[in-house]
Amino acid sequence: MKVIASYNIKGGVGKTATAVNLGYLSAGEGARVLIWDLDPQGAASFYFRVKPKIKGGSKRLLRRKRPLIEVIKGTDYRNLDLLPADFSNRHLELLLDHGKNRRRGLRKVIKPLRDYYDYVLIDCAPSISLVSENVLDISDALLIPTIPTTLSLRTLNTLIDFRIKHALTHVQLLPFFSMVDRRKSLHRLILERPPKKLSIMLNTFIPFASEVEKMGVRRAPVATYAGRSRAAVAFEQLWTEVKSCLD
Amino acid sequence: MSWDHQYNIPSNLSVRGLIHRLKRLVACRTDTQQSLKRTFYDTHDWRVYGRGQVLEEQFVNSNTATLHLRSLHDPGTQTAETTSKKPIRFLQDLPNGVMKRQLASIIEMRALLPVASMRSRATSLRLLDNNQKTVAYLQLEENNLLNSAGRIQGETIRRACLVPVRGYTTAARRLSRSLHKNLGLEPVDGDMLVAALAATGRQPGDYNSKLELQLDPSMRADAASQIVLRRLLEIVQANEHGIRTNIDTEFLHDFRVAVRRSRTALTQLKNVLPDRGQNRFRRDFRWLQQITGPARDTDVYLLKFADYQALLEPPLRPALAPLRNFLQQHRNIQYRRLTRSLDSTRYNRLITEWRAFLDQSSPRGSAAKHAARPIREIANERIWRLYRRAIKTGRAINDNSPAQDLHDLRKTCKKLRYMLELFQGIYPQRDVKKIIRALKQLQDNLGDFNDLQVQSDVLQQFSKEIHAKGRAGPETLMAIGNLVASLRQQRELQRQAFYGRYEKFARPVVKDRFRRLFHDAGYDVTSNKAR
Ligand SMILES: Nc1ncnc2c1ncn2[C@@H]1O[C@H](COP(=O)(O)OP(=O)(O)OP(=O)(O)O)[C@@H](O)[C@H]1O
Ligand SMILES: [Mg+2]
Repeated sequence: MKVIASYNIKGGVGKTATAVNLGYLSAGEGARVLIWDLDPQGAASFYFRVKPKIKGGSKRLLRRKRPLIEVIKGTDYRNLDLLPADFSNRHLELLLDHGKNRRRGLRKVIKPLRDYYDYVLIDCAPSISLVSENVLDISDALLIPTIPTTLSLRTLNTLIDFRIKHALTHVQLLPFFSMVDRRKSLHRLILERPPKKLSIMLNTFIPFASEVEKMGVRRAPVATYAGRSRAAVAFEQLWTEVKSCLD
Repeated sequence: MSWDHQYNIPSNLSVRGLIHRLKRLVACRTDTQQSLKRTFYDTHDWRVYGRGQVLEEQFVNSNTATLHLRSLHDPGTQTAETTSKKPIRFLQDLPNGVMKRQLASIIEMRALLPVASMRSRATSLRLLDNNQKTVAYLQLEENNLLNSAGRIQGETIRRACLVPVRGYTTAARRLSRSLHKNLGLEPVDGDMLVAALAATGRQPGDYNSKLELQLDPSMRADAASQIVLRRLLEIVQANEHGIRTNIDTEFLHDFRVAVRRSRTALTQLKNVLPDRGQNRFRRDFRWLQQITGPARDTDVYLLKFADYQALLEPPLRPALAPLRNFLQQHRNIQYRRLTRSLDSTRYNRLITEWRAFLDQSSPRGSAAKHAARPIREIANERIWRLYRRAIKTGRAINDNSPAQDLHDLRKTCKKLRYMLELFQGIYPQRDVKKIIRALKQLQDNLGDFNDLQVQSDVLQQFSKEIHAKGRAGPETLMAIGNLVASLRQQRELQRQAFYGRYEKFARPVVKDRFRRLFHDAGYDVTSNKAR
């Protein structure tokens, strides 16, 4: 089982869009996939029409009283399940903080999922926190959607440093450009000559496209209603590239 | 789960009619409508079925198959699903993932074989909640069973199959209730697999290498022995085909175990069975054991190949490839040779005459000394004697003992194990299981010690042959050299571990259990019953 987190310190960069669309694509290939909505706002749960509620709240996740698998919901797509966001995810930080192994608290949560899934895709909230540190700890790779602006690139550098500082170097960093708008000269400039330090950037980028925005209305992955669109093709390419980086 | 997943669609209701009525009853949408070929797979010894699972392949007029693994008793619960472009036969043909991991512990090295198939039309409906979210699937199936010649047999079986979506069982249960109450559908038990098997004339579990014979302890020893030996002959014959067609390694394995068990029974029950012909059968079975040996050996080396590689430093591992090629070629030669032996007059006469020998009714006042005694008495004596011999031989072993002593003990333990297994039907099951478990620990140690010895010698021999034929460079010879060295090292470890294992086996608790079952009480029980 591979754990892949969609993560960025910044908000509104396409984390949820990435987790939802890549999750859908990988499940379509026959892999067993879980999307873990770890953002209290529950955007991923919303896209899959799943109520953002866990019976017993996230306390239950950490205490392992009942198997985690019981709170997981099947989506409308074969092989694709969802662990819904819960308002009490807000308290996850506190719970982890009081746990015995505060920096490694999610390990035991994720362990039983190995019997069920080939991939777990985590949709993170935009922040740098104890929760995100825990996510990094259990992840094999971090997908980092990055808007091609100077500020975003600085944030990315912060993240690279954070990973080294906290001895989390087992995680592979997979940053890629997201919401790329060719009409903007800065986007074009950065895309054509990315800074040297960012040689780890993936080749694929996701264009800014109205089809992605429509996910909010359709409440479904892009490929289900605009399979031939540039955005859908870009997500496919992204998934292929991510897979090739994983093994 | 206490609700029904499957229903018969009554003959007066068309699928279209059913959909029409459903749509008035619940919010649902037709999802797919397709023709498909469904094929069920299992191993020769029904390992998938034995674990309460069903493995099904579905072809929807394309060259990609989807595989479904689900629970036999809960057809709605999907355990795993995967898509495969290659035909599946062995574990390694499956794409990596959950299903492969689950099947790994079920089928191990065995080949998956098609056991039954059908042609179906299936309409899938989605049941929706008020967010238009799918909460259950209802699959309406019209299945035409295919017989072993691939022709449609019998009437179309029409079923409605309810598949819940994880986390929405309440909705599925509600639908289940209205299928019955409002639409009058009758629930049915059992997976389609069971119905499909009936059409091919097969039965799940129709082959099984276990003995599991129920014997009356007071039965005449000769009659009981014949039953046991006939069952072993059945196993021998059930595996012939798989050896000839080279399906997987376990046909030969089961074949050989049955032969070896028969040989043990023949010697242990010498004075129970009619005297005439015994020597000849003993000779012929030894021959059979010998001619099947080399093929089994190459099987073992190939099955262990991954372990061998793991024993080497990573950079050396690829250098073992010529050894694998050599083993594979060697295996093909051995199997061809073996098939010729199975076609020989000697083998065929052995089988026919052995069957006749086992079928002859036990004559009154039989010549054999112990023929008429109760089987429990005989089994008690032989098992107790083998146990005592094992204890004695083991106690004498120390650091200076030659390997031959351990070898002798291994053989005694093997005979003891076979006798326990052959006649376990006349003893309380739980006790025998416990005894076998204690014995197995010691046997594993002795077996490994012996195998590691043989393997290191044979691999060294192979290395010479490969070298002589100029089939490999110095890296390969070095890799095999390192492998042999580490096998020898492991063998030393097994030698050291022997004492601990023996002590455990020789414990007073185990001894008491042997005594109770085969020495003291044994006589009482049989004498009460038999006399
Ligand atoms: N490639 C794109 N083109 C156009 N719009 C996009 C694209 N990707 C995402 N969006 C839109 O931008 C908004 C934010 O995207 P998304 O929710 O995926 O980002 P996020 O990083 O998960 O945000 P948050 O930090 O709030 O969780 C959404 O309304 C989404 O529809
Ligand atoms: Mg988000």
